[in-house]
Amino acid sequence: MEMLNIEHLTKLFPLKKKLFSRDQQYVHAVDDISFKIEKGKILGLVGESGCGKTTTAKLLVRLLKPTSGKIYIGGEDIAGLKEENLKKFRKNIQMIFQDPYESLNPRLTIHSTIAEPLIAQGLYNLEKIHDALEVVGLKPPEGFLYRYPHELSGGQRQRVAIARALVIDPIFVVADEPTSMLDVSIRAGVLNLMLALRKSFDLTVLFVTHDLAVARYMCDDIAVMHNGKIVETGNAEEVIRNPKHSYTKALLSAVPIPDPRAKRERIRIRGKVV
Amino acid sequence: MDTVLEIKNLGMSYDTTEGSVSAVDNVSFRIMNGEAMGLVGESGCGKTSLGMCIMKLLPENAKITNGEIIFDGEDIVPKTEDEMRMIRWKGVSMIFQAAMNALNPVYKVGDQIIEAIVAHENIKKEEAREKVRELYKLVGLSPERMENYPHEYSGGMRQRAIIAMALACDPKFIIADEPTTALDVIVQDEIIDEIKNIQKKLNMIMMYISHDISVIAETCDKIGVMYAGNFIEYADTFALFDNPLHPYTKALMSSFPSIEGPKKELKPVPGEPPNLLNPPRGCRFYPRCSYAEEICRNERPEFIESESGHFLACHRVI
Repeated sequence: MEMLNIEHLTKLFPLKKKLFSRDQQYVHAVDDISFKIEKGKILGLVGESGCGKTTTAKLLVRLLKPTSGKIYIGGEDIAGLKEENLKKFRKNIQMIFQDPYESLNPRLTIHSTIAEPLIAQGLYNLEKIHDALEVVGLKPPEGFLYRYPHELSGGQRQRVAIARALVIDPIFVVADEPTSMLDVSIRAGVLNLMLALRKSFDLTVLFVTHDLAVARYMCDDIAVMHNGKIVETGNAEEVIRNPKHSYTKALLSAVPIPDPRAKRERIRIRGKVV
Repeated sequence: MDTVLEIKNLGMSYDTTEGSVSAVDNVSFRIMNGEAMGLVGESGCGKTSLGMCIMKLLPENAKITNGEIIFDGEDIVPKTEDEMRMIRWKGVSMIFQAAMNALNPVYKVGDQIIEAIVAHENIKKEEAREKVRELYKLVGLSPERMENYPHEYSGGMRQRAIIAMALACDPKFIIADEPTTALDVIVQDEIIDEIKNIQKKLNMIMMYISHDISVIAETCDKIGVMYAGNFIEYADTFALFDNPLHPYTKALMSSFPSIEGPKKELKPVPGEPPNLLNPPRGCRFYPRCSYAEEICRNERPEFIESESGHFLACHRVI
């Protein structure tokens, strides 16, 4: 069953008009993209900085309003929903942000942070907060409830962010580079946690990353994005072993390999992202 | 081959309101002529502090507590600030992390590099300008870009400008501190390539600091692994990858995903690095180590040569 189905999604950002110019110009941040994610699967959205990955992520959780196109989540199109109708839908879909140093309010305790989405939905229950902390490996939960983000390490903060996203039982989670700010030894732990959670909650995830090695480890399928367009999609292992599009090939050739004997052929891309 | 940099039993600590933090503890290693050494470890393990010791760019609450830093035959630890000013840039130079913050936003980039050259070398501004022109070509920037301000540069271009600046006074030794961390994969790849080529071409020695072992594998001849202020393993790149000996090095390697080879499960290192205000008495890694025994808790392992050229600090391996 498809959990998420995107059709011809487009987001244009208007550019500042030049003096006396009549035509409004636009940046095509997301340019007519379509893809699907099956229930319980992880799709990796990969590409370099500025390719439109994060804009896509923000459109899917409706932090941005699409210019055109459809976003079906669990069968319902949310692309055109008005602000007042979004609240119900926000229960089903959550986002995990890149930087756990910025995405947690420094003045809220861990308890208040995780309680926020529950209160917003009128579902507050201390038990749920305990469970969420336990599920992300912050044990015992009592030891964390009344601490502040500055008392936690980067890995623990990201676990809090994950707990906050999962506490209201979403059906779809968008993770925007959730481990790129974490240290290597901590990163592996958070990645493994996300894989375990996907299994136990049957979560559907869009995993945004620029790191192909991480995408290969985490994802069932990969979509490669370049200049606002999706240039290649397919099974993760297949895309990495046997890339078809020249941009995917170039991207793969730029990934450093943790083996001094591995020789990479570098494929250079001409032209820059505008 | 002559040694260009030799560090002997170096120790450095920060004084904080809560006590003294030993960020670099009893570190010894050598870098030979023309070599690039990679320094890996987690955040807060002392990599950057070690780089700052060598540059002697330490904040006021930090001091070198013991040991020697022998660069080009001379110990630079006792040198005064004035003497250091002659060594920095010309002798030892540094490519800083966070290219966004290393340039002054209100001066043209070219002028900032010219200023650095004029301050250190006895040449005229026009000659310096010509030199910057050459440096720009060397790092793959168009010389016309000298007239632009930092905000007109992309992240990758800024990092190239920082490299040009580090090379401005023909240093013999360059410290690259996470030069690609803030950059995109493709730009990172270009910059790594550039640094490697320049290092070989100008025959400098280099210390490349990174938390990313795959970047180090591609750029360096030797690798030093740091943990909580200690050097725990040091070897030739191939030897270290073929035969990592220290449990921490092994753990670090198995926590990295790769796009090559079969898909392996990642094994995170359990626990968190120790608080250096009060580090474990024995081996600093023992609380996280699955091979730990009684001796590891009580005695600090010595950093010794276990095989030819392969140094190690572990009770359990030897």
